[in-house]
Formats: sequence, structure tokens, C-alpha cells
Amino acid sequence: MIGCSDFLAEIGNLLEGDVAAQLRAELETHLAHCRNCQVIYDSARNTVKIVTDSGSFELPPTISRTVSQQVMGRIREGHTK
Amino acid sequence: MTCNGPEPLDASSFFREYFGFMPRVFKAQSALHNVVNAEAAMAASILGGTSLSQMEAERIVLATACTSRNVYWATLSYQTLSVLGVTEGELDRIMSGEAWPYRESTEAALLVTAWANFVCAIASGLAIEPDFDAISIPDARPRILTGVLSPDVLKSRSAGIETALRAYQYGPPGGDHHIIKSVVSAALARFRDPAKLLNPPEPNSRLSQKGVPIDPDADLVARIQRGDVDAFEEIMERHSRRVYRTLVGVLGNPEEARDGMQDTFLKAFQYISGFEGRSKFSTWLVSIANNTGIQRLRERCPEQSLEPDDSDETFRPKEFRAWTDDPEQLYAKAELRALVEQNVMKLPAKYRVVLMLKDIEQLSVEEVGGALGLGTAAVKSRVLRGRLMMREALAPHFARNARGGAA
Repeated sequence: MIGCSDFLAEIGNLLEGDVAAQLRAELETHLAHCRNCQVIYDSARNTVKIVTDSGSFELPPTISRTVSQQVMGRIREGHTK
Repeated sequence: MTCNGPEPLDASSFFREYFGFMPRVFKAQSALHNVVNAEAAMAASILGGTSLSQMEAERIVLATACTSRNVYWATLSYQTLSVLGVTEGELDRIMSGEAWPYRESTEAALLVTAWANFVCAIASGLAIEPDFDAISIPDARPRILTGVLSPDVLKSRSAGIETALRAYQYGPPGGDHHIIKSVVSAALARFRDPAKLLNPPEPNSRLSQKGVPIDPDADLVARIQRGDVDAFEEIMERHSRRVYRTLVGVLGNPEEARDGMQDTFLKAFQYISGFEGRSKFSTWLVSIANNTGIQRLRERCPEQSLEPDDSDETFRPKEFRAWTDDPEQLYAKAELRALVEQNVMKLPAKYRVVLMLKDIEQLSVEEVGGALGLGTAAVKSRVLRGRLMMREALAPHFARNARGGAA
């Protein structure tokens, strides 16, 4: 019988869809009876989606161009060290 | 050890205590007692004067010896580690390149790598037979730390050898003594010249029977290696964002990350001629960015560590409020982005960088592991911890309140 700590031990694999069928069935059975684990799982899935979709930490094109110019300038002058 | 000469040290006692006996490589130089004393002083300073344990230091020596195919030191460090309790399986993994010999790129690990290169050069030059039955070194290229030690650090560490060699000039001449002196001088020159340390190791560098990974940058890299310098501009265009994100992940500061980008790309250009395509180029580039970031972190905060903290093992979720059904709809895109960025920045660096590469850059677990020098289990564990911490941080913004709307 899967308990909460067993579920938490597998939540990483579950979020990646990397769980064997039988174990998945056992984890889903646990979720059906455990509100806390269901909340954690749902909100963890949402967290991954929010972080992935957020478009965070984009590099402004101006910065990218400046870095490129500086690096190429030093390379062409032979000052790479 | 000071630059005026090595402190008095009984070399024979030091090596007997460290190894449990007097290894042949040092016994062979016993006619040059000043040199052996200097080597012992240097060993004591490097091996005994850092935060690394003997086991950690010997793991680096084993990997370095295998990389340079030095049977003497591979055998000696293998035996030392066996005595210290390391299993045969783990030793095989270090030798084959499946396991990194060190936890993270620190100056201590770099110094020990330099020390290992130095003693391997001495053993080769002396053509010393191993102290035990020689182990066989697998074909795979083990992973060792590389990077540039500051010249001041190298100089101060090698002062003992220099002093001993100068002192020897006034000693007895002739025969094997000159040969040994030449070997030590050559080894010292190599030890002091950072350019002669191996290039940054390629992640996943174990020789694969299945063929090389498909690399979309392969043609561009080949052009650069043939001298088409301008092609490097295209490399930067393709990978600037990834390099930037890696540096933000390590440093936690966008301004510093932008400063670090130039260093990263210059280092990549400097070493690109040695890139052999055993991993994807982008994975190699991310590893350079990671090391650049770590080096800057060390300069800024020497006490800070990316080491996993054992207390994190007991991390338990505290937020049990259900979230609203469609949390992404609650905020405008710009607000969501700001929310994510603010909270990612608050994560400890060891989780922030893997989360950045896995969830924001969308690299595979293997690519993240290859770039950061982590095993699959470590990547998965850190990604999960980062995600659960983010979940805790975002919950107040997305939790459903008692009235059924957002909190």
C-alpha cells in the first residue's frame, strides 16, 4: 500500500511521465484517497508549466549584440586570453 | 611553505603516513633529498592544506592518471582508494569516465589536479614500475577538472621545488642525478604552465560504440576549427541565451551573468580546437559557462558552496492549499514572467541552475548532467527540489481562497 512518503519519493518521475504502468496505477490509487498529495501533484504540474511557459530570462537583443561585438573584436585582435 | 624555501619536513615520514609505505617513485629520488623534501612539502601543502579529504584528492589523482594513461599513479591511487574503502565498482566508474572524481570545480580540486599531472610526469620520466600489480586503464577517457590556476597560486606552491633545485646546484654532480633533475624541471615547467593542462573535458566523453551524438553545430564548429573565425559569431548567436541563462542560474544576478558571457565565449574559442565532438557542442559550451560562473562565485563569495546541504534531505512541502483551476490565466504574461524570475532568483544556486537548464532551457536530464558534471540521479533530485521550492513560493499567488477565487 503506497503511503504519502512513497508518493513523494516518486513524484519526480511521475511529473516526467517516467513511471511503469503498475506503479502508476498504485500512485493514482493513492491520489484518489489523499487530498494533500493530490494538491501537491496538481500544483507541482502547474508550477512546471508556468515556469516553462513563462519566457523568463530572455536575453535582450541589444545585450547579445554587444557581447558578440566585444568577443569578435577581441578574437580578431588576437586577444583571446 | 614560504617562498623563502620549504619548511622542514621529513619526506619519508610524510609519504609513509599518507600512503602507508614509501612509494617507489619517491624512493627513486632519495639521492636528491632536497627535491624529495620539496615534493613532500608541496604535497603536504596541496593535499593536506585544502578542504578536500584524502579520498576526494585520490579520486582526482586516479582520474588524472587514467586520462594521461599513467599506469604507476593509476595503480597507486587505485590501491589507496581501495584501502580507504571505495568499492571496485566505483573505482571502475571513475576510471572509465562514468563518474566525476570531484563534487564541484573548486580551486582545491584544481590544485590537486595540477599536483596529479605533476607527479604523473615525474613517474613517466623515471619509468617507475608500479608498487602493486599494475591495473589496466580502460580506453574511455575519464573526466578530470581543468581550468586555469592563477600564476601566483602555482608559483607559491612550486616554490619548494624551485628552492630545492637551486640548492642542488651546489650539491654532488653526475650520473642519474642529472636525469632526475631534468625530469623534475620538466614536470615543474608543465605544472606551472596552465596552457599545458588538458582542455576543458567534454561531458559524456566516454567513447561510445553507438556513434557520436547528432550535433546541429558540428559543421559550424568544423569551420571554426579550420580557421573560419567569423563563423564563431554564428555560434554566439545560436547559444547566447543558453549561456546567459546558465550564468544567471549559477550567479543569481543578471548583470554578472552578462559580464560572464564574454569570458565564457572567449574561453570556448580558446579551446575549440581541442573539441572532439564526443558530446554536443552546446553541452560543452554550457559546461564552460557553468565553470565560469562558479569561478566568479568563488571570487565573490569564497565561503559559498554549491554542495548539496544534507539538511535539504528532509525538505517537506508546507503548502497544501489547492490552486485555482487555470493559474496561468490569473496574470498577464509580463506579470507571470516577473513572478517566475523573482522566485527562481531566490532558489539556492544548486537548484536554480538545474531548474534553469531543465525547465527553462528545456535540456534533457542527460544534457544537464553532462554539462554540470552531475549524475542522472543528482540532476533529477535537484530538479525536483527546485520545482517543489518554486511550488511553495508560487502557492500564495495561485491558491484558491475559501470563496473559490484566487488568493
